[in-house]
Amino acid sequence: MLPVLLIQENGTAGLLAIVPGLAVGILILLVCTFWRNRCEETSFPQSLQMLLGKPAGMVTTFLFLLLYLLFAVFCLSSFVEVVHTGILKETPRILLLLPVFLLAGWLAWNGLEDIARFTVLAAVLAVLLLFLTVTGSIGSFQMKNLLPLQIHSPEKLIQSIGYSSFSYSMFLVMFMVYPALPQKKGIAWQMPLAAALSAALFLLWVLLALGVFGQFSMEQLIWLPLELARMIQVSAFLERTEALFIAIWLPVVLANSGLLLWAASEAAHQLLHRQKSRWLHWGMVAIAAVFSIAIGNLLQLFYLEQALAAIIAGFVPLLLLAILAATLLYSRKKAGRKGGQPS
Amino acid sequence: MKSSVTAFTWKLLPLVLFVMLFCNGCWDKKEFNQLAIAQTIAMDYEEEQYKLTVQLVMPAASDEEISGDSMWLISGEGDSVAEALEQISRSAPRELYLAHLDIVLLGEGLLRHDISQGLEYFIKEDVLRRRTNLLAVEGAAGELLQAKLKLADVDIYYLRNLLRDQRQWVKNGDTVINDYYLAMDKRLPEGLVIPRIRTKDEKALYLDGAALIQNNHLLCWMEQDWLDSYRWVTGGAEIRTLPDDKSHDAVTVEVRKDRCEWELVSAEPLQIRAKLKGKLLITENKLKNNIQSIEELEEFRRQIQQEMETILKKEAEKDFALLQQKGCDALRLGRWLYAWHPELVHPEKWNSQFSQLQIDVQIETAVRSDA
Repeated sequence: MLPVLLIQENGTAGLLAIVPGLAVGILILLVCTFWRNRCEETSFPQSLQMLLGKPAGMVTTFLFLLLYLLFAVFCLSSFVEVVHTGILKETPRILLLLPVFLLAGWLAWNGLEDIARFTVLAAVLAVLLLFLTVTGSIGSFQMKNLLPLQIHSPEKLIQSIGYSSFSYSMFLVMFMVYPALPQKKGIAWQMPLAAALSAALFLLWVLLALGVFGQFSMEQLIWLPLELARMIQVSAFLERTEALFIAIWLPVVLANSGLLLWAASEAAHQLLHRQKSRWLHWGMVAIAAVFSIAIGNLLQLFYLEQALAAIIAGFVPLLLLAILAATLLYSRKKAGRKGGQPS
Repeated sequence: MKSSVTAFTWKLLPLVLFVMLFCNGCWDKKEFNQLAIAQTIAMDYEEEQYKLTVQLVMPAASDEEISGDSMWLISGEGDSVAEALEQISRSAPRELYLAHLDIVLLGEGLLRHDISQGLEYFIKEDVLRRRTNLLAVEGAAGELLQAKLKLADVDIYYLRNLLRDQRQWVKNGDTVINDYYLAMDKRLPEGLVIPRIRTKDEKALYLDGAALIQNNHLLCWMEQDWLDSYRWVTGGAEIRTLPDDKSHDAVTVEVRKDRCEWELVSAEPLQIRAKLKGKLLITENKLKNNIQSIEELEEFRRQIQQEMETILKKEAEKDFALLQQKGCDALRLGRWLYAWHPELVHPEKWNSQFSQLQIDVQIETAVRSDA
């Protein structure tokens, strides 16, 4: 939905709003790396309590937990909405929601290694989807549909940047993931590179859609990948591929939401100082599922996105600043303590 | 520990199995022999009533291939498209399935009234894909669909074959729903060319000419010779026989056209050059026995090339001028100009700007070896 909002408000040049969003994502990753290098000995919730004080740390951890859950709800609800409105119109929405939450929860329960392996598959599928879409739509693509690059509503550019920042704020999950990663050289630069690659792929999708549908039509589209899938036609060999498309897209969605649910579950476990508890984990998944059921339609999904974007816009910069400042103070104290220790 | 994990897994298993029951898409299952699959739809508008004629395929489970016995035509009328469709649904013996609609026939009444009114319902219901073909019919589209021709019945396969045959001659000659959306951009309106389908002496169907649409309304019908010039914009091929003349009697040339390239010549006054490139293949040459040497052959080819370029240039200029006279940019020139030189285009006044701009036609051809 993000590209539609970008285009709707701003025309082609609204794509430029992706850049600030990507910058926010990379900033999150850099702060995360900075924190991790200086607080190796603790997990993120423990660090927060150490850096911000116990009550503030616990509250911040809880906010992170909520954010991860809401991101997961948003991710899975969007996918279910695509399937429900585009393909399986008669199947009750709840019967589509429950299996995807079950699958994402199961993936999260099995841990980060399984999610990582699944993500490798998802990455391959994402590239395959892009290849399929490009091949099938290339005959309809025209540069003159895409151009000119211009901003239609400059006053809404700020709003677009907000939505873009919200989208890339999902990188906050790395605060939970990073401590679980093995100490490996190059992780610090690999993560921003991965973020940049994902932004490049995303941009390619949107440019392809603009070249096929034109700017005017794009404003009326809701599910961009589904519409592009409907345009796929490779001679008489391949047509009507949207159902296949959705099936291939599912692992990508599951990888993302599985990671978010894992992060939420992990944050809850660490906040409550519990070992791996199935009741706590599946309780979190159930809460997320119930919240998704409450989001009955696309309009409510849009409202959720607006609300989250507004919260993120205020919350993330302050949070990153607080973590940065607190980490600096902590590392100086730690250095001071080491310097004061007798030999 | 291991036994408690196993116990929990067993407890979760019934939930997983229960959920799996609904994961196979059976809720949305469509039994093949319980569906009335719509292949083609004809839309008309007469006496303030929308009339839809739908060609349905209702196969039996045992059918190995679709035959004429499986095809039905059902019509419905109403104050809106939704009402007309509801009438059809009530008459159809099976559940109406519209997701396979490939071709939409638009009758003259609807074209003159408002195309968007006809298409809006189907587009919002996600029935029509952006790749669905549009064809225009002079007169009632429903009557064409119901025509009993001597050569073959009018059905989706016949229409598809006509379009497929056209694709061998014309590049990007189909008009699909996506083209409709691109043309109806209110910011920069342009004309839409929808191929016309006709019957020939009640024997057969053929594609001849096109409907020129502007602002969702039929502007006029264009004949095939205009369409041949128009093909310079999209690319394609045509067969031309040079006029009967003492020196060039019975020389037939296949003109293979590339897509038109536009070039801005000047901004004030606004002048655009249309560079039309093509290849000429001499397919029939009854004079070849008179040619004795390579020099004579080369001279002959040069003369054919010159003559063809003069004729094609004149026709292209005439046909582009006709569009300018009507103030209808079916050449998509506005889209090109707005993409590369947006400062020169006033979108809200583009139609009048298009009428006044100077289009200089330049044709470059090359004669290839005789076919």
